Parts: sequence; structure tokens; C-alpha cells
Amino acid sequence: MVKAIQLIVYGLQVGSIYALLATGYTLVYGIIKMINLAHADFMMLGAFVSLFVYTALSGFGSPWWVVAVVIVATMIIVALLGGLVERIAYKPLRNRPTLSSLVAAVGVSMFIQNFLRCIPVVGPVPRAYPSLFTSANITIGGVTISAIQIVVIGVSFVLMLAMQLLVSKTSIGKQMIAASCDKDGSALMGINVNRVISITFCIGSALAAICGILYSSVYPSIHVYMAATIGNKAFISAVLGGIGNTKGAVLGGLMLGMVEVLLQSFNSSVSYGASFVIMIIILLYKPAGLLGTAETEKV
Amino acid sequence: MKNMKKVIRKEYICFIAIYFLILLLNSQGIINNYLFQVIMLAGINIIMTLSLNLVNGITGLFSLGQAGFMAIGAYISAIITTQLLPVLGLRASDALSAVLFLFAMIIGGIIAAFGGFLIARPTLKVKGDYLAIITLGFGELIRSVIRLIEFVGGPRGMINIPKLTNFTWIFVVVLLAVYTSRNFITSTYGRSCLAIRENEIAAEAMGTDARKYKTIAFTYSAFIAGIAGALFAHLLVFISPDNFAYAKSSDFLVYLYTGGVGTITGSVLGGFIMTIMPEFLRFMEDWRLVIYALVLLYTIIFRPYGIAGNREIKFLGIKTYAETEGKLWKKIKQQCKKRGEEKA
Amino acid sequence: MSILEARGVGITFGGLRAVHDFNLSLEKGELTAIIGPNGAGKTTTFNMLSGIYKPTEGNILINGQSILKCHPHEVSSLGVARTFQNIRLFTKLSVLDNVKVAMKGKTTYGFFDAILRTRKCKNEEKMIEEKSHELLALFNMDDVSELQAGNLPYGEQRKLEIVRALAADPQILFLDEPAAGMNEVEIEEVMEVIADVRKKFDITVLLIEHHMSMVMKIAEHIKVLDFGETIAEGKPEEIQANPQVIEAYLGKGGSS
Repeated sequence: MVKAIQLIVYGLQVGSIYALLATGYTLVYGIIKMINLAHADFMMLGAFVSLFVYTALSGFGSPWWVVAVVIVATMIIVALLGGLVERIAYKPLRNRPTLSSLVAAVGVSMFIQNFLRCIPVVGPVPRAYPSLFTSANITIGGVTISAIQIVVIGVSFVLMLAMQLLVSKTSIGKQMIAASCDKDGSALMGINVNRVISITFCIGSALAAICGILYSSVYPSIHVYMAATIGNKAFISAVLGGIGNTKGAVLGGLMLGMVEVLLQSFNSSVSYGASFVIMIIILLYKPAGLLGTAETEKV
Repeated sequence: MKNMKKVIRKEYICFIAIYFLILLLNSQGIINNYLFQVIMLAGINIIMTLSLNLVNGITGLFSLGQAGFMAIGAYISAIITTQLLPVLGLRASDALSAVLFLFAMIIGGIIAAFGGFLIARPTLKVKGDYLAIITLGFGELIRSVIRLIEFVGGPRGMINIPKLTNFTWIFVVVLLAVYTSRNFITSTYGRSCLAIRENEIAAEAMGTDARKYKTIAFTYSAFIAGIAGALFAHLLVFISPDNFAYAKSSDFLVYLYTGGVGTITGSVLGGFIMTIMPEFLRFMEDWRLVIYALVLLYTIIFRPYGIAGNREIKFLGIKTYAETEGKLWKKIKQQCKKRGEEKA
Repeated sequence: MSILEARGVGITFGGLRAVHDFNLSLEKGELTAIIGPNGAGKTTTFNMLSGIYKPTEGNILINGQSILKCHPHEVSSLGVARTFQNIRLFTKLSVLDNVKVAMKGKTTYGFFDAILRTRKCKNEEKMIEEKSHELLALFNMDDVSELQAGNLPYGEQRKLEIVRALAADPQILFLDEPAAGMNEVEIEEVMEVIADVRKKFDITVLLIEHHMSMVMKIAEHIKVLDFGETIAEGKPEEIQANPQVIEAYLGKGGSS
């Protein structure tokens, strides 16, 4: 019983990171119909940028407001980087078939990972990540939950809730949905589609950045290639839940996290392959995902 | 006499000349052994790029997992040769070893093709973007599985593979790969794949079974990749799962797109140039991947048809419309000019 | 036995009943037209008849064989060829290749023949090349056979779609708005092409069109759809006088 709850908490923690990252994937896919393969690398950027910001502020110790500044600053910086990447690499390809954007995404990902590996500031050697949150543990009825786990799950849920509100209640959110349904139609209705796309990218990148901070708090060793596997799993979560659907991304992420943790408790090497098998099954039997609606192509 | 002339075309003479020239330069020490090995690696990369071209370029799919098929071919063929050579009491330099090598290569290719078939059948009705992730996952899965198999050395890799690959093998296989690719493209198979790339629904309406042709293209491409893997294993003598990581698949992507996606000429150029070039930029070794990334981005944004520019060299006998249209427009312009002069 | 028979065919997309109780019986050599206001379900019906959509009710028979479980390419091999409302040519391929793709059914060589370029492959390729040129020449398109299909003028593209469909050697030809976006002169040309096709090939034609002048001139039977229901059918003169049809197009009081 205790072990079960422990596993569930662990699954929630793993799953919330997938869910948060998946939300970013889904927001971007919904609007420009392209999988940003480089999305996970923004998570890695988030980890490193937060490391540098924290180091720059190291004179002040670790009171809560330093942590807040680190988080906010990282989000802003990575959001701007995301917007920049979109402008340079993806915008010119918007009117081309999506395969070109995929190639560009591969290129962007390759560039970010290897550029950082080459510059001395970062380098190929894994770096230690500072502990931004307390390392205390809480024990309730035999179940030990670490403060970090609570932070990860808590922050993720708050952000996912914020995303839901953004998309359904705010003007910019509605513009994002409109642009994802019909770009040209939205433009004719007075929506500045370029601006909306850039903002979506920035938001997505900021979410990825926070993922980076949260993930690194749990596994405090960061390096330039850290994002690859997580990125793939987050993408699979998005597909599982229904790509283009933010609620689906959350559902998919949590489900995948749970499944992975459960499988890992049986056999760790099986769990990595499991996520791809899940994706293949979903794509075969319900390609629109659990919460998605099937898109019919007009013939 | 006419038939003789047709067969001994000047291009064939060119190939034979290049072959002997390189061998000569190597034996004279002008091309040192290191550079010679690089040239052979370039040959293997050309074969891999050709295999990727069949899937990405001709059929319009997106595979990020060619390295997985390469791995299958490499390991299977290595297992066969390392196990059977001692049993048959052969050494690497024996003539019979070459026969065994051919056998091992083909088996490696076939098993890789089978892998391709398994992946293709269920997943090809899935949209392009998703296929990318599935193929990526497949490549990684293969790697993970190999790491678990102690018999082939697991994560430490496989050593003492007989060095059966030589320049002749690679040269011949490159030519065969080019030849069969060209034949594929100019046949109904290639045309059907091109039609699927251009407009799948229309292709289906014209009687093309999209799933069947996508599977064929994918399986054949996996076969070629398997053969390249076999050549790779028996050149490097040591292989490990890390040789076949996603980074390798993305390398081939760079070769294909910078060379010119969709054309055989592009695949050959891309594979060759992008393998040889880093050797002359040794000082930028660390930055190789950064440069690849930038080249890829530049190509896809500004020169989507790559170096080859959607043209094929005449010798291949593939008509691409970049050329034929140029000629037609010239003809039309000439006619207009003539008519203009007549009126005046 | 009619070549194509649709019995009580209908399809629902989610909550929307796009087509309901569509019945058709095509006899060999006829030209039947389906007309109706936009959104009536005409192209949807075509898509069902050519196997792209699966009807949720009813049955479709081609030469007595039900096609409900068939993929579009299987329906095509049963003798159906079609053009599309929004031109679906293979734009980056040449005009000749567009035609050659549809001629695939005439070849019998296999994969290994193809990659090794055996004599069988070479001979059959030669045959396809000749037949494709012949077909293009029939429609005066042979001189542009090497051009990229996407670079042809609009009217020629529509013609090429028809030629490509004919290359598949069909018994039934579905034409989805072949005269869309054309002026009077071009419509005349399309009508000539269709008449040509019927003369040279023993073929049954099913046509969707909006240009009434064209439909009334060439159709032998007409069915009128509105909101997915068949509201009238018969000969052109009957349809022209039918008050329901007029109301569907022009609204109440249109007949006055």
C-alpha cells in the first residue's frame, strides 16, 4: 500500500514534467501544424540559463526571492530565444510543406545542442545543478514525499491550469485557437497571425524552460544532450492525449508518467521501449489521440 | 559494332578510371591510408544517403531511423563472419572469405529489410510528422536492444570483426546502389512513389496502393542500409551501439538535404562532400556538428533543392523537369524571337 | 445490369447527415449529371462512389460487386477513374509522368524486374511510353509532355486531369466540376473534350457541374441534390421546369 502510493507520487512527478513539456509541443503544433523537434532543447536551455542566472546572483544566497528571480528571468530569456528561433528558422518555411519545417527543426536541435557543447561557457561535461528548493522530506503515514516532488507537481499543475485559462478565457488565447483552426481566416478577421505564432512559440519555450528547472531540481546533473529522451516521451504524451489539445497533453503526460514508473518497478530496460510501443498502438487504433478529434482532409 | 559502342560508353570508362586512379594513388602513398579509409567511409555514407533518398526524397516520407537498419546489417553480418570464419578455417585474406562476406552482407541486408517491413506495415498510414518520431524511436529501440545482448558485446561493442571490406567492395556496391536506385525511380514503382509524394489521394484514385508502395520503398531502403552497415562493420573492425545513435541518422539527413533531396546525384554529392569536407577542416573538428546544423538550416531555407538543384547528371537517364523545362523555354523564346523578326 | 448502382447510400459526419438515400443506376455509355447548390453533398457522393469515404448506410455496386469494403485504389482497378474539384495533379512531375502513373495497371513486371531493368521491364516501359504519348496526342497535349504539370495553364491542367483519368482505362469516368472557374469559351472547349472522350472511348460518364448551360446541353439524365437529399431527377427539360429545383437554387419566389 505504502509502496503503491509512493509509486503514484513518483509517477505524478515524472508525468507532470512530461505533461508540461507536452503542453508546449501541443500549443505549437496546434498553431503551425509542425512538430518542433527542438522543443525539448529549450528545456535544456532553461536548465543552463537558470544555472547561469543563479550563479550570477550567487552573492545573495538562496532566499526565496532569488529563486523567483531565477525562474522569471529564465522564462523570459528562453522565451525570447524561442521567438528568435521561430523568426529565423521556422517563419521562412511557413508556406512550404511541413517536411521542410521538420528538417529545419532537426537542424535547430542539432545547432543548439552542439553549439552549447562547443562554447567553453557550457562545454560537454555535465554540470551540477544547484538546489533551488529545500531538500526536505515529508513523511505521511509511511509514505515519504520530498519537497521537490511537491514543488514539481504543484508548479506543473498551476502552470497547466494557467494554460487552460489562457487558452479559453483570454483574448490572446482565443486568437491562438482561431489561428490554429484557420490561419488565413483569422488573418482576414484582423488577427495578427505572425504575432500570435511568435507569442505561442515564446509561451511554449517558457514552459519548456520551467520544465528544465523542475527536472534539474530532481536530477541535478545537467548536460547538453539531456533533453533528447524526455523530449521524445513528451511528444508521445502529446500524441497520446491528442495533439493540438492542451487537456489531452496533460492527460497523456500523466498517463505516460504513471505507466513508465510502473513498468520501471518491474524492469527498467523495458520502460524506455514501452513509450514507443504505446505511441504506435495509439496511432494505429486511435490516431487522433484520446481526447483529440480526427481531422478529415477535404477531398 | 554499334552494340559495342553503346556498352563502352565514356562514363563507364570514367568509372573504371576513377577506380584504378584511387587505388594507384593509395599504393603510391599520395593518398595515405587514413584518407583512403575516409574515402571508403564516404562510399558507405553515399550508400546510406541513397537509401534515405528512397524514403525521404522519392516517396516523401520522413525517416529518422536509418541508423537502426544500418545497425541491424552491421551486427548480423558481423555475427555471421566472426562465427563462421574460424569454423571454416579461413582467414580474412582468403578468396573464399569474400564469398562468405557477400553472404553475410546479403543476410544482414535481408534482416534489416525485414525490420523495415515490420515497421512500415502498421505505421505507414500515419502522418509524416509522426512517422519521423516512430522511426526515431525505432532506431533508438534497436540500439537499446543491442545494448542488452551480451553475445554481441552489449554496450561495450563487438570487436575483432574481420576486415573484409576493401575499396573494391565499396566501389562496386556504390555503383550497384546507384544503378538499382535509378532503375527503381524510372519504373512504375518509382513513379508510384513519386505520385504518392506529390498527391497521395490522387495517386490512390489512379489505382496506386499507397501502403503497398510506401512499404516497398521503406523495405528496400532498409535493405540498402543493412548492406551499408555490413560494409561499415567490416571496415571499422569494431562496432558499438553508439555508432548507430540518432546522431548518425541526423547526419544522413544533413547529407541528403544538402546534396539535394530527391535526386541520386544529390545523394552521392551530399554523402561524398559532407564526409570528405570535415577532413580538410580538421581544425574545426569540434564544431563539425554545429557546421552541419548551419549548413542544413541554410539549405532548407534558401536552397531547398540542395547542391544538385533537382537536376540529375545526364548519364543516369532520369529526366528532371528543371532541365527539360529550361530547354523548352529556350526553344519557345527562340520561336518568339523568330516570329518577332518575321513580323518586322 | 447497370454498370454502377447506388442503393440508399448515405453518410453522416458526426451529427451532420451529409447525404441521405442516394440512389443511382448508371447504364453503359450514358452521361449523367449531378447538380445542386453548394454544400448539397455532390462531391461527398462522388467520394463515396469512388471509395474515398465509406457510406454509413446503403450499398454501392460496380458491375454487381459491392465496393463498401474497398480502398480507393481497389475501386479504381474495378474501372472507375475520377477528376477532382480542386485539381489534384502531380504538380512536380511531368505531364507525361502524370499519365504514366495512371497506366500502371497495364504493367505486369515485378520489383526485381524493376531494379534490375530486365528485358520484360524495358519492353513494358516502352509500351507505356508509347501509349502515353498516343493518349496525349489524342488531346493535343503531346508537345507539352515534358513540362511540369504544375506549370500548365489552368484549362490545360483540367484537361490533363481528364487525360490522366482516361489513362487508367476506366469503364466509368467521374468528372468533378471539370469546368470550374472557366469562361464561356473554355467551357465550350471542355464540352468538346468530353464529347471527344465519349466518341473515342466507350465510356460512361458521371458529372458534377454548376454551369447549367453545359449540363443542359450534354447530360442525358440529371439528378438534383439539395442538403443531401435527391429532390428531382429526370431529363434536362423536366429538371429545368421543376419548381423544387428552381427554389433550391434561387429560393422561394425564384420561379416568378
